[in-house]
Amino acid sequence: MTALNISGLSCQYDQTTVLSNLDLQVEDGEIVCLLGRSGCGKTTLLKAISGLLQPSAGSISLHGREVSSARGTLPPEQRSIGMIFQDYALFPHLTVFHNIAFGLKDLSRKDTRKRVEEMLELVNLSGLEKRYPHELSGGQQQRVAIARALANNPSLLLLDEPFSNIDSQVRQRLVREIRDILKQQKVAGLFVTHSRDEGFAFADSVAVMHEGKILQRGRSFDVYNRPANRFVAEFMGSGNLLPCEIINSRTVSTPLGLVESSKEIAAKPGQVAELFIRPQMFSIEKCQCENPADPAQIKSQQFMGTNLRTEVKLKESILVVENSIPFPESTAVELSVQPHDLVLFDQKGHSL
Amino acid sequence: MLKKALIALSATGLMAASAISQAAEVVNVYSYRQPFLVEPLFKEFTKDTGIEVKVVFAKKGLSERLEREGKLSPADLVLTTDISRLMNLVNKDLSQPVKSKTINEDIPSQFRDPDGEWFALTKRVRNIYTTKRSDKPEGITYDDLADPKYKGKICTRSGKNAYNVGLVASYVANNGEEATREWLKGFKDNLARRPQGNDRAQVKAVKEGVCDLAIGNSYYFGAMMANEEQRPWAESVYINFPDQKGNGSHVNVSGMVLTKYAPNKDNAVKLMEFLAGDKAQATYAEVNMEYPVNPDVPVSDMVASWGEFKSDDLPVYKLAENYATAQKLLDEVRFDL
Amino acid sequence: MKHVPTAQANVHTPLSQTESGKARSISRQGLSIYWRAGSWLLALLLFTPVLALIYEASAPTGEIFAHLRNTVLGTYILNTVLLISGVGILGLILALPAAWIMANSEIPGKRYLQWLLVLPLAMPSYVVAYIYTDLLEYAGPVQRLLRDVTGWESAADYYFPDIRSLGGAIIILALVLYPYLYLLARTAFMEHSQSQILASRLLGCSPISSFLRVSIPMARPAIITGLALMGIETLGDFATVDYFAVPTLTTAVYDTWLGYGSLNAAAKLSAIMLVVVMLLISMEKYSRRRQQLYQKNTGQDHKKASSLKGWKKALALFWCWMLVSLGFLLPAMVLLDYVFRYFSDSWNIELLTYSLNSLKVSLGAATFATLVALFLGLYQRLQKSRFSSIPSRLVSTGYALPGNVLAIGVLTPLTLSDHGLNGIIMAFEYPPVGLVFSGSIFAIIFAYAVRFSAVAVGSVESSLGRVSPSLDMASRTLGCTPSEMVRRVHIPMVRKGLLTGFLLVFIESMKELPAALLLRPFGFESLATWVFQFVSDEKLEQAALAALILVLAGLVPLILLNRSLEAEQK
Repeated sequence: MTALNISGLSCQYDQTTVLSNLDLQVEDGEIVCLLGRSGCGKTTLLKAISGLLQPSAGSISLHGREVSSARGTLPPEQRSIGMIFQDYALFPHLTVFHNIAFGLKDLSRKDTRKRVEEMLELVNLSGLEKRYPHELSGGQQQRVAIARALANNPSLLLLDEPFSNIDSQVRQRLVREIRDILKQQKVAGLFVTHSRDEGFAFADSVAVMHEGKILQRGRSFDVYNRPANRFVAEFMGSGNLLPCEIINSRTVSTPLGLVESSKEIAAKPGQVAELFIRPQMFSIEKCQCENPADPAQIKSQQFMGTNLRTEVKLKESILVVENSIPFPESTAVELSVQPHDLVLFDQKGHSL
Repeated sequence: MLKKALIALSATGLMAASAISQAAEVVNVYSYRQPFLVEPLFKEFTKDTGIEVKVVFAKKGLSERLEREGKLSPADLVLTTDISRLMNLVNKDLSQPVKSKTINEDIPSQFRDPDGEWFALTKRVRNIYTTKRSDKPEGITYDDLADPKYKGKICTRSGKNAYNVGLVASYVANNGEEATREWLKGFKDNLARRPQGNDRAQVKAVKEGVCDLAIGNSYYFGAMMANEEQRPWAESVYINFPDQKGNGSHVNVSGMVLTKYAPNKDNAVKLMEFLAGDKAQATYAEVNMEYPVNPDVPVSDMVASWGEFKSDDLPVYKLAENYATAQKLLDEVRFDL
Repeated sequence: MKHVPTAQANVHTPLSQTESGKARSISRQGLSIYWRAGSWLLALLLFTPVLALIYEASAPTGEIFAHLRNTVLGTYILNTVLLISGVGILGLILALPAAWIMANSEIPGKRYLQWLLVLPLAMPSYVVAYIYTDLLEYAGPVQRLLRDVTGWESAADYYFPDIRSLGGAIIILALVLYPYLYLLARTAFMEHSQSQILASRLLGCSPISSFLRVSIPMARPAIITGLALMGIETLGDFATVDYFAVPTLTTAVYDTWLGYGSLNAAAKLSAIMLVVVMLLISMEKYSRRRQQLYQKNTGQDHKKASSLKGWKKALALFWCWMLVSLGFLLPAMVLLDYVFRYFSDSWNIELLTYSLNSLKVSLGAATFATLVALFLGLYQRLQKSRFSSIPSRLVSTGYALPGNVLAIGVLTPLTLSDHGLNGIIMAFEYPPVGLVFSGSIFAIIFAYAVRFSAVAVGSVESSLGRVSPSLDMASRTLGCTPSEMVRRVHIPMVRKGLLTGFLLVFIESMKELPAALLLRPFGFESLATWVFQFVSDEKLEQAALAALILVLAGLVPLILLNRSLEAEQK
């Protein structure tokens, strides 16, 4: 069943349109990552879903029940939604125990205690229930927030940049842990972030958002490798844009020479386009030729941990390439592109 | 939450409202006069009649309060310290006439309104006190205050004080606006310091050598003599009654007005009669060292010791008429600045 | 943020049974209509006195204004400006070093100094003015000693500055008002992180220049707030400037009202002062907007106060103890001395009643003002429309008016209500109930609420401002209705702010004078009215005991206030 169904949603904020005609679905148990730069409307969308904001058009349904439309909105407390915040939003005047028990209303004292203990165990914080939020580390606070949000068995969990205040060493582990918790509890999640690495690690699928619209939605692997347009391509990771001309359904001509595609190209021969190549799709070899006509030269190299980030000067332009072999500066090299499913954009930046 | 807030708010209101009480035989007084001056009189009145006197004292705003309270006002009687406030109440139509033979017999006609809207109770003279470091000056006049020979030698309280405005108003009535302006300019030039403090503080300043002349009401001299700490101040000065060869010394009055909607009118009239009667007038004379308006009541021995004097026979209501002009002139010459 | 225009929209839409059930819950999305209407009504209620004065001010005033302008108004305005800026500057000089010392260094007795420095706030300024005049005037002990030592004989032999002057008024007011600035600046200095100070030191700043170039600019919003409070209190002061014979705009208000008999012109002048204060308040608001940003950025590091040594320690001790002595200890000792010497004069069994009256009125006013502040503060937070801050602003205007003028303003709506109520009751042929509102202590409580709500509103607002908006979303998504959220999250979190507001209003109400003088019911005497009666008659000695009780009654809430502000740091 669809946990969240948003159709044609528009929202205004002080007369400026923040969301326009937006569609989004999240299935039961699915974790969707909403990726976008700050100011793209992510937080507004979360507010609309949680019921703090009235849409001007369109509708939001939770498990088939319409909760928001231009006619009215169901108040947040009746939606059974959990929410996790960047600043954790723990109540500083309550202990961990009472924070988690905050939303548990209809349970007896004993059941409440049992539920809180379960939740603490779930997030690996057993024994800390008497602490106050300021006595915990950031990661611990966020885990309390997760426990608090999940205690009520929400049908949907909204996560608003939950990891951005957490140390990078802890972050990776926490992301995985929390993903496991959500999966174990079979909760649908909508996760908002500007960091694609977090998105990849946390979500089943991503939706790239820009200026109040969703540009592309799909499995992260697909969105990365088959971006719908230039914005999505660049947002998902760096790459090089090369002018090219379609030769035939498998080949394009570029300043690097002819490049082959592993899939058929949906464009007519002779059409001019832009080829988007991710840095890791190149191979570099030391130039064997004595006197190459147009040599590519190593401009600089920097070790990034796994691979080297190499800048290659090719005629007037600089290409960014990822490889594993160090070269001295100014080495003349030969660049080739590994055959793959080529990403081509037309003049307007749309994928061909 | 809302309910709690409302309950708390209305509880505050109720608590306040319950503070109102009603007594059987009372008379309610709004008094501009200070408590220690009139409270002994009220005690005496209650002793005589069994009528309780309830008072609100304030130096400012009582007439505005009375005006706004209108028909609902609990006040029966207003006591004031000078004529301008009496007239002010009458002009705002906050008073009602009293026809009491007793009062009219006690208070001479120049000290009451022909229609009985207001009555004066005591006379107070605006004296000039001079230092005993030099001889008592002969025939000192208010005009002398502007005489350059006293340059830097005079102390007074603020020109805006009702007593001083009254004095200036009488000067305007007697000499006209132009002459008053010139007089005030000279007066101001003679001041030893910026006008400040009350009347007694001026006498104290003479004692301390800050100045040689001080302006002050007559009864304060008596009050100082009665106060152990202040007696040395009073003993350091001569009390002079100005203008004995001219118009006579400036006299202002304290007085009373029956309010238009007095709920306890009978009791109030009784109090008025009491205040005009011999007993109260004697108290005014003996305790407050004022000059009673009732001619049958003698002044106190101490007041008598200051000697007979001639008072300005300007009708007191004339003071009120010139009050605004006096105020204006005081501002024009920047008397207090 | 747009809010749901309640249920009407749904009424016209043909909806199924279940959806009309939804419609009801939908109408709860924003604040309930009662709350919204209540906020506006409450604000308007507290605004009526100002409204009444504006109405008075709109009447023609003839030549009085032109006359005033041509004669004394310029000097009055100049005096006012000099007084306010003088008090502000002296306040800065006195309070900032003390605040910085208390926030950043360890000196002996710091535990006590921290709250001792606040105590001058408990001293009514007119009492301090009286005491210093008594000490420093010609006949006072200081000049007497001077004459004995030097052999000078009279005032003509030497120069001694006149305490009853503009300068004197500035000194006295600065001495009793500096704690406002001290409290706010200390809080701000404590919030600065060690790393910021360290950074400035590493960049070559000496401690002094680090104080001037880093600490002060960072604390600027708090400093401006403190200055605005001092300015407003100074502008509203009448007793002190009157005692010192320094004519200011407040004097002009009384002159026009009482001297020229024109309440209209007086109201007009008050309206001008109102504008000045509104400017001060918006300055304060503006600076606080910045302050929020600052507070978000502060790190968690708790810095350690460095302990001072040698001449620095001596200087710091001297400075703090000088403030405490001049602003509190010395006047308090003089009062105590009066009490011993004039005990039989100042002892009066009625004092108990007066104390209870003061307490009753002040507690009532503080409760009223705090509830108003909470109600309107929450309205402003929860009803996020462009106009939702207006009620709080309306309520704050009363702070701007001199007490006596405000009292007249208060009389108008209260007597109107009395007339209305009695009219209704009499229409049903019951006997009239009389002046229920204007003739009871309700009038004083109401007047204080009008005058001091601004203080409570400010305190609650800044405290609510620190509650992150995400807490609202968190509690709503965890199943709280707006009113549950208020009860379970907001109120517990702004408790300190409520307490601060309550205590400040309480202290101010204990000292307040002119409104109490005019509005009191028959036979009502409070400590302040009792004391002032003697001060104005230049014999404070005889009311020394009452004055001392007044000061002591202010001490307890002040110490509590200081403790609550300190706890907020942790």
